[in-house]
Amino acid sequence: MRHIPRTAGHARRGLRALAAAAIAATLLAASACGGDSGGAASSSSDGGKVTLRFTWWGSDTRTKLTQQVIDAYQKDHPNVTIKGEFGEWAGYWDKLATTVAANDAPDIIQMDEKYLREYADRGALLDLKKAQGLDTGKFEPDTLGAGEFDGGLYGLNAGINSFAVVANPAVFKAAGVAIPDDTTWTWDDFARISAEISTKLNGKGWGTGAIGTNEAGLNLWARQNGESLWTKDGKLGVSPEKTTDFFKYVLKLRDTKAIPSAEFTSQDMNAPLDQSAMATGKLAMSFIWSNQLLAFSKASGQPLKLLRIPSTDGKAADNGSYYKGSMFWSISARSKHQKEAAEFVNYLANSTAAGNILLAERGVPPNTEIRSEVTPKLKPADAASAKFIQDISKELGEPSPAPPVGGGQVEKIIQRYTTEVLFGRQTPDQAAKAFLDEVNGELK
Amino acid sequence: MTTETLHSTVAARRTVRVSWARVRPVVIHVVLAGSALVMLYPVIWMVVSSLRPGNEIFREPGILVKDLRIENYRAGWHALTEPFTRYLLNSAVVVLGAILGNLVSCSMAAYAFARLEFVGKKFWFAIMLLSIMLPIHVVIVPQYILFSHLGWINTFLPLIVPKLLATDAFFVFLMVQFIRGIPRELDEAARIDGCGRGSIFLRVILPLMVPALATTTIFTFIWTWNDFFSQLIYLTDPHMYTVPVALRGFVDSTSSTSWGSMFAMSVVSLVPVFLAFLLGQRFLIKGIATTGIK
Repeated sequence: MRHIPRTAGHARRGLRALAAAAIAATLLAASACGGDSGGAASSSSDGGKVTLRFTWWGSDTRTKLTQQVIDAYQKDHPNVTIKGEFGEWAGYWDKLATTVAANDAPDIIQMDEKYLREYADRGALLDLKKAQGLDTGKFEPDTLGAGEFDGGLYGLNAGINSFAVVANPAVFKAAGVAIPDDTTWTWDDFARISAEISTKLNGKGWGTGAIGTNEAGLNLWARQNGESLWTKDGKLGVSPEKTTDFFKYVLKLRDTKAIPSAEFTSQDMNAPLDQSAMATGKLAMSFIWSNQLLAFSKASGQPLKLLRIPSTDGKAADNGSYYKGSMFWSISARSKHQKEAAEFVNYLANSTAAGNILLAERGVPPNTEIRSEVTPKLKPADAASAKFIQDISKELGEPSPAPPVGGGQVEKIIQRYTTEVLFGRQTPDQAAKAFLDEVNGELK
Repeated sequence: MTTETLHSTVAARRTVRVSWARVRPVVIHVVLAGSALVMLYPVIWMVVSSLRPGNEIFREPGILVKDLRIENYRAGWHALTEPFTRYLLNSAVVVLGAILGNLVSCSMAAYAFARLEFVGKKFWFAIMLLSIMLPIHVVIVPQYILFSHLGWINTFLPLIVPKLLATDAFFVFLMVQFIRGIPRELDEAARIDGCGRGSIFLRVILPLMVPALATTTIFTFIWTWNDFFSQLIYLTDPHMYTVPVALRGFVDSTSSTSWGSMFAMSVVSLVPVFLAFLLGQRFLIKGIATTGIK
């Protein structure tokens, strides 16, 4: 027992010193952030030799394909060495935040829509319009908009996506319901058909997964009603009335049993892709991004089918669909080899050699020439999503503006309010108001 | 008659008591084994899942395995850019470096705090304790800048060199407490025999604090082996990846994950920790018992 009082004494003295240490820590952190722009050996060159650092997140398949592209590029450009750095999604952003704060960011960065604006606003990303050697002439015009704001292009679309309904023909068959015509269906049709499937499957499955499990559903709902989740100048663009309507529709799906129970849905929202109800064959339909078709098909062991998002008036051209960048290529503004980095990004985006290796792994190529080149080589599910992207190209609305800084949180927020509505803890108009207030609070 | 009844009741009581004494350990063991099973269930499930084909893992929730398949191990070992041996070796290098660093530097720092007198000793001791409370996120950016200026990014140095400077304050504290428990008379006896500070440390204190050193070794092993964040930040090249960083390579939330391979390699990476704990358990308990309340 001798030592106890002594330790306690030290702890008390420690508390008094806490203030001093806290100040010291703050100073340290501040000096680090405001820090010198000397930078570290982020990339080194000697005698015309250039080393670029290239970072991406993703599965091992992606890593292998990307490494093949790097090898091919290095063969053609012996003076350039590209060092790949990769990791899975969550760790990737921790690491990127640290390296950017420490002024040691990789030269070429695979970027996501959620964080694009945040990094660009802090001056961490290069305006690609000013980059030499990067050509966007062959890009489908609608595909550049998502990486463009405040007059600059900060992320080059690396693959196109569209929000869509995914249908499992096997579940439709089990329920004895025909797959509807997606060019003319309305939200009422969608609700009716889903409810019919749920009734016929009688607890063994449901018509559809809930809408409102991510913000894209609300965005499309808003776009069909002449609004948009985000405005071009980085504000919230959806009105409380339309949001209320949206939550009312969620409630309607629940009451007609078109979707599973609230408990089931709230669990399913956070399940990994291959454990989700859609992948395990419990749902006839669900909402996904078109490039996830392959992953869902693989997980469910069924050839799934993409359908257009329903519209309010039965015209597919009015359903508000848009091409989203599944991910983007960005170049660090602090890169010492911006020209070489831009040339490599150009290679990734515009060369058939790279296209033939990467195929549709990052989404359907936005460069129309590359797209027609690779489409015949795709796996059936990827070919189906490429065809879907092609099919809807005449029906698109305006490009959807990238989310503002802080907008990355909206997915978690809408999931929470959808859950509140499903459990009946909040009415649609309460949820709509609280949801908008909370999102506004997140925006800076 | 009366004596007979008395006898029989006593006998009856005794049999009750005897049977309860026999049953009691059984009950206790059943309860303990049951709760151990509940605690272990996730681990058992992982081991079983690692022996199943990938698409069955989530379809069959039970832990009964029909046929043992080691494909996941074979596939997982070579699934990433490097064979898994490379990651195990990398982790081993980092862990060994960290253990050596901690043993040498923390024991010396602890000796100084426990036995030597120097200016501002209490102040520095408080600072050291405070550094336990600093979350990694506060120090990671300044540290990163420092190490990247030294050109140490993508080497094991940022993970090992700080340990040589007694930065794991928890172990310093642990050893200080331990040394304080060693009677000062031993130091004095050594001094009379002609020992200086250095010899006292090497010949008297160090041999006596083996339990504390063992505790430090085991904890350093487990913590460094499982450390993800700093290894993720400092190691950029796949050749340099350690086990925790490599394991995350199997997971990707945006597409499907090869769970089978991941579970298989997780099992592999658990083995060293399990062995370390198994072999060091005796020391660990001794170390904790002798550094805490006496």
